[in-house]
Amino acid sequence: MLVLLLILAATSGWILSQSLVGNDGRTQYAVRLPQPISLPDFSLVDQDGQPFGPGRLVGRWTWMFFGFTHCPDICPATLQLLSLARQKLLESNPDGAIPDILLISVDPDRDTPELLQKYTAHFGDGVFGATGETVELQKLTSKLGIYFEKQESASENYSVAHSAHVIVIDDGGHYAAVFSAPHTVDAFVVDFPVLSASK
Amino acid sequence: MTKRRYYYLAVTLAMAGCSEPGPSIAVSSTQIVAPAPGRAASVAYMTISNSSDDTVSIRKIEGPQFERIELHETVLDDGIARMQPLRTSIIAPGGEFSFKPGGPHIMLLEPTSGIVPGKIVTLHVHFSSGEIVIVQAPVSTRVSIVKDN
Repeated sequence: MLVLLLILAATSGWILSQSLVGNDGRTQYAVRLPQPISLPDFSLVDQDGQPFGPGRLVGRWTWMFFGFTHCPDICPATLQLLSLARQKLLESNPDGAIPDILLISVDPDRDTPELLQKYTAHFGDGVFGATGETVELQKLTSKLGIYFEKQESASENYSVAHSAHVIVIDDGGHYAAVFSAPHTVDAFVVDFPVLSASK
Repeated sequence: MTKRRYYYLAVTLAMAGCSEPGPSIAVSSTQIVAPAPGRAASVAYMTISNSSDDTVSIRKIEGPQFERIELHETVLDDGIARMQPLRTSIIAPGGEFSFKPGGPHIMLLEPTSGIVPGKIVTLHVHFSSGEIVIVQAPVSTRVSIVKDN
């Protein structure tokens, strides 16, 4: 009888844990790659002026967003949304995987490391930035299917068109999944535990 | 929220003149977002309701604290975000138009003084009907996007 009760308890616990992370590992919003993809070798500079390459993405999960600091609307809105989602994950499961949020600036002419440092700090803990020469950015973006292009303007207030996806990099430093825009906080809060639990 | 809407209505009525039967356009959910560090430009969001029997559109938005105010929209085209001038702001009778993150937004450019959290910003919203709605709202550090999710 005791053995039966133990089996029942263990089974219930497993069912509960599976329901919390999605019982079959399926995501509702994110598209998971059939096989995680290794990142190419690229050489950027982070918000502290330090070299930033693919090795820096190993050991932690990362939500990677491409944008620029002069972007008035979708970039700050997305970073804030990601920061809120990260905070919710911290509150709901502080022992679970918590991602870093990484803004890769596709406007290296204006976004210096100093500016990236101030800008990313504005969005709270766990938000970082990096940028680099266009050719180095393209090494990364071409692998991830990210598009960016400077929109010509007569003034200095040019804009940069860019993909609005959020790329999920797993703790092995591989491209694991992608969230397509428009984004919601709930999408990240619901799907990220599924992705990180079923890697 | 209710108090703010009454304030907007009162101002609208005053601007429209006492001969009008009542204000037909109301502005709500106004958010003035402080510029990000290192930036001077800020952005505003709001919802405009048209309770009149006529279609109206936004003619322009002005503000004494800014040299320039432009209406833009973020357009998502096959996953790619581009910013462009707002194409249309037509509000049908009984309809609403929302400036919101990831869509139409109001660019507040070249401020005459610092736009810091807590400061009250005044905007004059001009409509094709001739009505002018004066909106006042405090600057906040972050846009309230949770509601839209």
